[in-house]
Amino acid sequence: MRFLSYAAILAAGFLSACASTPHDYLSADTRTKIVSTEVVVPIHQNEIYVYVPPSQVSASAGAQAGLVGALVGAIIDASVDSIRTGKAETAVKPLRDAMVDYNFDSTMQGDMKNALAPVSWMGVDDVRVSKQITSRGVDGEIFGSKDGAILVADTNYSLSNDGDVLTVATWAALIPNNDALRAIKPQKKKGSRVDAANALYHNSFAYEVKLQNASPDRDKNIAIWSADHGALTRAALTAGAREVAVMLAADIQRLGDEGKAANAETATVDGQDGIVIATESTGKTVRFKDGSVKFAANAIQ
Amino acid sequence: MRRAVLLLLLALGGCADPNPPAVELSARFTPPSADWLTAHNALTPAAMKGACAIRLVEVRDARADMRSMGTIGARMIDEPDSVAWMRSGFDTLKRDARISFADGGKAMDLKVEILKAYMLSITEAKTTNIVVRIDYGGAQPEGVYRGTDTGLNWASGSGETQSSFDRAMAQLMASIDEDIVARCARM
Repeated sequence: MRFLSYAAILAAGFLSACASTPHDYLSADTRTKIVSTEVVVPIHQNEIYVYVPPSQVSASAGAQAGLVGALVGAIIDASVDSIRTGKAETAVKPLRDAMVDYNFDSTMQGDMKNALAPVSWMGVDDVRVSKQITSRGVDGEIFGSKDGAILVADTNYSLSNDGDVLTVATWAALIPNNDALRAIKPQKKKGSRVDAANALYHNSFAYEVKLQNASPDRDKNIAIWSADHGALTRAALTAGAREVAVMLAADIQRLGDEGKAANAETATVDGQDGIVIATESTGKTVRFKDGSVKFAANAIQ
Repeated sequence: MRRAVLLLLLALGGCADPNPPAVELSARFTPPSADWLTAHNALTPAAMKGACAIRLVEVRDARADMRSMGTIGARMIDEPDSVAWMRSGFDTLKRDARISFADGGKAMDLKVEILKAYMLSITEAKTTNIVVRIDYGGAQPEGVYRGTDTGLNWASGSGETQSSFDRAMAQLMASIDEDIVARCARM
């Protein structure tokens, strides 16, 4: 469920990830038409934040009271959200201060380059981080690109509402940028180019790590993340950037759903059932039924 | 859904633009009130007025994208001249009678670096953060300061965006003002 929440954050950013097609594979034939690829990584924020899920305080009451009730309920919920976000922002300030010199953007940029450059058929030309995260902004960023394809890897990182889980999440889409590729995936006339419906390939990836012995008290958890100049947070974000890039590089090379092997290990992560596709000393990579992939890291302390 | 209901209420049924234009911030900080940063002025003895002399040697933006100031809802926020915007914040320190801006002579040199300046939308809220580092020269430790503002995102409007940045800047400059005066007292 938590994973779905992060997917919702990403979708709310600018990318209209189509719920009915969460994942599209890239065919072998399509690969042969990709001469070069520009990689653009829009990163949603400048610092870590606490994701506060939308309030549902008045939802049922509003639904039972017609339009006026819905309007009043919406205003009440928005006010509640604002107050809760204000408290979360105050709580996360010590962590931000501890991390002020940490540059997630350049870490992510380097990891994307390291992971994707060896995929020879992609012909990765450049990896750019962008702060243009709206559909208009990203369309502007990729306008005029000379590469045959553009891989957009929309990335976001945050702490859970209780401050006990850190997540790095990426929604990636490969957009055609030459006639041969556009013939394979005709583009919609309206709307942003960076849309699941326009993508040759797209999928969601997440890295998630929990605090061992986390407290129900958000402030206490954030104090742990903040200690020693945010050492745990730096390590988690660095690992998260690397794992997300590695998962993307592996997934974009898959030619189709290889199915579930008879002896495949299964796992349930945050209520979602999936297949374990890799096990490392630091955690497990799990592919869910919708094709999305998550690295569930071992808890840290 | 709730955002849609709120927009419906606020725009009286107007359709939300799925690709709205960016908000462009003013390059000039507007303080919250006419007497802001003047609380100490009446209590400052004549001999102490302007005794804390500073010199703004440099203001630079250390961010990779110097225009981008984050987002409000689906709108990007641009600041075409972030250095002028930050200088306008420091200009308001002149309101504090204890501080003077020196052209020459003995003064505390300030080299200012903009580290963060952004708005982020989280569910129905908007939050603004501005972080600067000030190098006071070799004799004094550097200082890192943060100004913040959080509130309800009413309609992703230009006015509420500008106001939030002004409030965050006011908080930032108030903390810098207090620290500069304390540093002068220790010199």
